[in-house]
Amino acid sequence: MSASGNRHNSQAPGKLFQFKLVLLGESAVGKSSLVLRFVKDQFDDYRESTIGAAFLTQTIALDENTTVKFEIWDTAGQERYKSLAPMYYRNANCAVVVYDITQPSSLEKAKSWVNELKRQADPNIVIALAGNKSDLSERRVIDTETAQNYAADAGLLFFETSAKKSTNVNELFTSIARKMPLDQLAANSRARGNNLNQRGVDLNRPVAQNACSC
Amino acid sequence: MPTEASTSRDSYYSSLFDEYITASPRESTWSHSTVNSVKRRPSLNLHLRDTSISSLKRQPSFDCPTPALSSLKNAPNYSSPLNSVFHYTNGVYSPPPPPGPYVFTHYSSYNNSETKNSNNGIEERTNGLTNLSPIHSISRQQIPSNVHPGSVKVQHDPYANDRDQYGFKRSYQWISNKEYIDFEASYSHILQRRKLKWEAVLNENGGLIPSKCSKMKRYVRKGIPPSLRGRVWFHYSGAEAKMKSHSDLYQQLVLKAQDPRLENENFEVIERDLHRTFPENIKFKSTIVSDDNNSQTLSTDNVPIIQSLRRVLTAFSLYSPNIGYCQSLNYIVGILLLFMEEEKAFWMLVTIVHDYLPENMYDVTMEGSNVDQAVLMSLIMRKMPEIWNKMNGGVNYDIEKSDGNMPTITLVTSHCEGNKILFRVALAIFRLNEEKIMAVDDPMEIFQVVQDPCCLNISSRV
Repeated sequence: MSASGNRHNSQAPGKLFQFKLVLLGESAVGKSSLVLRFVKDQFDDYRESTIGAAFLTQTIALDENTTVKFEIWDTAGQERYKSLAPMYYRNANCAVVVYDITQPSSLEKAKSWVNELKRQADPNIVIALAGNKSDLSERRVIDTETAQNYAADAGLLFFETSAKKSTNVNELFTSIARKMPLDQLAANSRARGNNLNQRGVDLNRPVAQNACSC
Repeated sequence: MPTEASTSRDSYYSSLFDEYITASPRESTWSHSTVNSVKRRPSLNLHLRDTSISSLKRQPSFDCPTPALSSLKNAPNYSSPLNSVFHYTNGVYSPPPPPGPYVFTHYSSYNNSETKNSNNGIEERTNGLTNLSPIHSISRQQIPSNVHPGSVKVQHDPYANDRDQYGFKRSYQWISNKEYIDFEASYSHILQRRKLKWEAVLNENGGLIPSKCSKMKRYVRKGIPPSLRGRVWFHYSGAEAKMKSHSDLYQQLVLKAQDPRLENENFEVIERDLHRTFPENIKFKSTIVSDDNNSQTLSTDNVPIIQSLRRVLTAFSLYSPNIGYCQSLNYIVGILLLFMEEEKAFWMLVTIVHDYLPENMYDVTMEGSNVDQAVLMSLIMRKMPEIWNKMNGGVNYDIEKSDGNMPTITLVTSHCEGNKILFRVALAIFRLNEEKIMAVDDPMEIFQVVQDPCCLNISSRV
């Protein structure tokens, strides 16, 4: 269970920020592998294709006083699942758009995801572009520079990653966390008199607990 | 939530939902069978509080006014009405495998057949095929004999400790090895008794699977013996009738799919999923191949079941061009291939997709999947309002999630009875995990609860 540490972290002193993150990209570029590396520090050469979407969480400490919890939606890559994607990127605070450095079409697909996010997602969404499978350098077809220039033009964070070799995976997610407007969010939450990790009073909960005990 | 379904689907589902709401237990085909069942064992309680959702029915059910088989068995020369429809001849169906560990037929045939080397390129595949007519021999022909004979031997031991009888890796996260062994020791005699009962029923019926009736429904729900599963699914689903009436079609589609001149956008997507289908299963696992430079790569080129999977999926993409290929069909075919030959698996897939599941489930719109999500949410709202309220913190539930955790056999078995079973299992998963769901702080975490393999841990409830 990836979330096992979260509760522990949320009790730590300091602020906890919670962000919804969505992974998008062509099928088989390694979206699930990046998440698995980030959340469980594991890698499978054999990885089942994601159907629909998978949900995981991971909490990282940015510094002594700041903890960020990512709620990660890992989506299916096939084109036709695209119609389900808005459900996952709606209200997302950040997105990782993944391509495969050995598949030229995957960068084009990534660009179209970036365009869709800019058009339809939250205007303040933080987007990172990840060129995955950097360990397969002998099969590389997409130059680092090409992707980097595109990312700079489009205002995206950019990393070349290898889920397999664990290269730049934590860096990717940490930079996203650092790029989130934490100060502003903290101010907003203070203004609402509410911490971000507490989403109001759940009126149903005590009722349900009573129901269970009787 | 996506609700823009076409009018016809709307009315279909709303009528189905109305039927569900007004269903009373006495009308339930489900309770009919449980009343008749010989004995009850602790099981998933699918009678959710007051009514079951058994009226969620779009397929012909097992209940039919046929006389009980016990009375038929005394009738001289009884034979199934199907005998006059289908001409069963020797060799059309293999006889039930001998007692003992179940051996997958396609593997045993690989070992016994002459094989030749192949580079697995498209040209070789095409050449290999053109001079073959019986489709069943295609897979044999394509298996190079010089590759990893050792790994094939291992696959014959279905009771190897770390694998279940279907070749899936056992997970020791929730249950210890000893618990597995203890369970299997206690369960094996039940399986054996069940198998004998099935054999008796088949014998009574001249070796054929009886027509649908309440007794067979009960038998199916208790569990089809693994050795008969493929045959029974194939028969009751209606796939058998389809295959009979289109005897050469699969072969033609396979040949067409292997024509190198054919350009089909689905093939590339299929290729990407082949090695990602049950990658941990011993039958599907990639093998390590050394190339000229002595560097080792993982490859599925020499994995027979993967070749079958490719042929079934590409043939299906030609058979149903509106669907082509949709990710997740690979898992359905993968399961089917563990239980039946590829041509039968193809017709099972056709039957499941076109007859059982709502239309548009897998086409580019995936509208059927959206509709089913809406239906599931409606059912949850109705049956489990507390959970629905909890989820209503803005989360859109996706039925695919619970599909991922349904026991895989349930998914396919459900196709003996219809789509309603999927909803029942989905609701059961929510009911079983009600306490955990109600305990999460954040509605989003509900997804983690129902995706977790231990969400099916029934013992925590019983």
